[in-house]
Amino acid sequence: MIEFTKVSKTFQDSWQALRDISFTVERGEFAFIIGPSGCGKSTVLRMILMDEFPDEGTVRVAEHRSDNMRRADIPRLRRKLGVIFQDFKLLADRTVYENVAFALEVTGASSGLIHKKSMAALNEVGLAHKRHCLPFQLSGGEQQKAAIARALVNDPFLLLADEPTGNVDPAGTLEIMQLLRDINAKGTAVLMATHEQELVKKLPFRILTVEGGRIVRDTPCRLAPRRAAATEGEQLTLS
Amino acid sequence: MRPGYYWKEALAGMRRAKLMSLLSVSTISAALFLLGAFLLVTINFRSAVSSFKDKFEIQAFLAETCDQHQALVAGSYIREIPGVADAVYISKEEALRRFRAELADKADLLQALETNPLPRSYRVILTPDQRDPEAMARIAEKVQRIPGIEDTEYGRDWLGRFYRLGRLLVMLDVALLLVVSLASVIVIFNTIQLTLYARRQAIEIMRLVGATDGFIRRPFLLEGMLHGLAGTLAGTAVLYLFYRLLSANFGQVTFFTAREFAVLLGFGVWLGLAGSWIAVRRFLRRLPGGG
Ligand SMILES: Nc1ncnc2c1ncn2[C@@H]1O[C@H](COP(=O)(O)OP(=O)(O)O)[C@@H](O)[C@H]1O
Ligand SMILES: [Mg+2]
Repeated sequence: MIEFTKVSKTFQDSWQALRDISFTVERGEFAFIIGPSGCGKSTVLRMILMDEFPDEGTVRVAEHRSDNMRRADIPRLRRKLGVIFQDFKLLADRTVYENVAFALEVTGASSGLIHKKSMAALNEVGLAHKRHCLPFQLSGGEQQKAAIARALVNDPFLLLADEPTGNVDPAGTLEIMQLLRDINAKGTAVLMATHEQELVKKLPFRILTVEGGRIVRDTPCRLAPRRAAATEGEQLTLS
Repeated sequence: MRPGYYWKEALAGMRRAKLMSLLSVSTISAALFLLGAFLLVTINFRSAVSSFKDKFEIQAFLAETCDQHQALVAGSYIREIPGVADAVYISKEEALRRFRAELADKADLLQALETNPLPRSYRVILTPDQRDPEAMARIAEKVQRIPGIEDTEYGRDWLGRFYRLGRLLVMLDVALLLVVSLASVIVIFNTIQLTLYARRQAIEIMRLVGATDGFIRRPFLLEGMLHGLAGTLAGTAVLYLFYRLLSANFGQVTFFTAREFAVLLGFGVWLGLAGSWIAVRRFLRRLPGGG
């Protein structure tokens, strides 16, 4: 579903952010990308969003390929992806509900559909009761849940998470991770970048370790495929 | 797609940058007031000139020495000149009658005359396409060379001056049009750029969730067009007040026709569109992944 083939990327200052990276992520998979700050995790995610393009090699996301991607096709790809960030990227002057609905508004959906899907997404993350709050009235964890609801509202096949727990307290982190597992268990692939090694080690999922722009380790999922799917609803512990 | 959304965003943009929007609208209204004023002067001037059109004729005076037959031949020669529509014979008596009619109140001055000093003449009427100073001079010269014609006369001085003035006005209009366009586009560009910066987070999010560039652009283009529209309306409203004042005192001044007014409005809206288009295009290009 996602396929990086010998991808290299050099930014203007001749610093090579990514060097000859190859990996694939399958439909419905949960994978971490870990590594120290500045190793190139965000760049990988942005290439999947086609926000950044490789200098060498190709990135394939579903039927889209980085080497023949037309600018006009980028929105079509992004409507099938969900993305969340460390800083949430919520609009401060809009309520939780409006923030979620925003992702559908821009696709030109009908207002009836916008309402239905926004409420469903808010229920999924357990934030329907705070839909009229403004972002500043929420905790970090709740803000990230709102961002997740926004990411889910278009029914993505893949959720990209760039350091989603970076601004969230430990209790919130647990909830966010549980939420991501539940989302994955329902069939959405999740690709999460983080530098928090401890968090990753307590979960059984595949780990791509990046150092200095290279993938140095690819640790497979420690669960049988069936078992991974059965984790839905199970309580997550990080102790 | 969702016109309601575009309007909501465009109006919100103007509310957010109230002062800047006001500045932009008033600059455009001042600019279009100025342009409109000059256009009105030109329009009125041209309509005045076109009312002189029937004065675009040449007087060809016959020599005292030429007899009636020669006079008739001269007339037919004149009519053969290309660009001449007709040549009307004016007898001495007719000339005097006309002269008296023009100087009605000083008629007693003429009573003193024993003989009629006015010459016979032809009133040479030009075809409509020849009614400009150059053509008149050319035709007058040809008339002058016809045997029996002693002299020709036409309003060369004042007509020439009118024409030069008319041309100068049009050049001024064009220059003003350029200056006004540039100033309006720049000020709208600046305003929309401010709005864009205020909304940059929303724009970033819109891109992430798959909004097309067109969708992102439209509210800002609409905002620019609204600035252009509001500015033009305000500018022409003030101009209309001035016009009412002027026409009350001088009369016979015309304002824009509905059609001309529509063109001016369209132009204002277009200026707004141009300014915001440049701003949005530049802004989207500079964003990461902007291509
Ligand atoms: N737009 C950019 N321009 C220049 N350098 C960049 C840009 N984006 C990322 N980099 C550089 O590429 C490297 C990898 O960045 P990033 O992918 O953000 O790392 P991570 O997310 O793992 O912290 C860093 O050294 C960063 O400074
Ligand atoms: Mg990063």
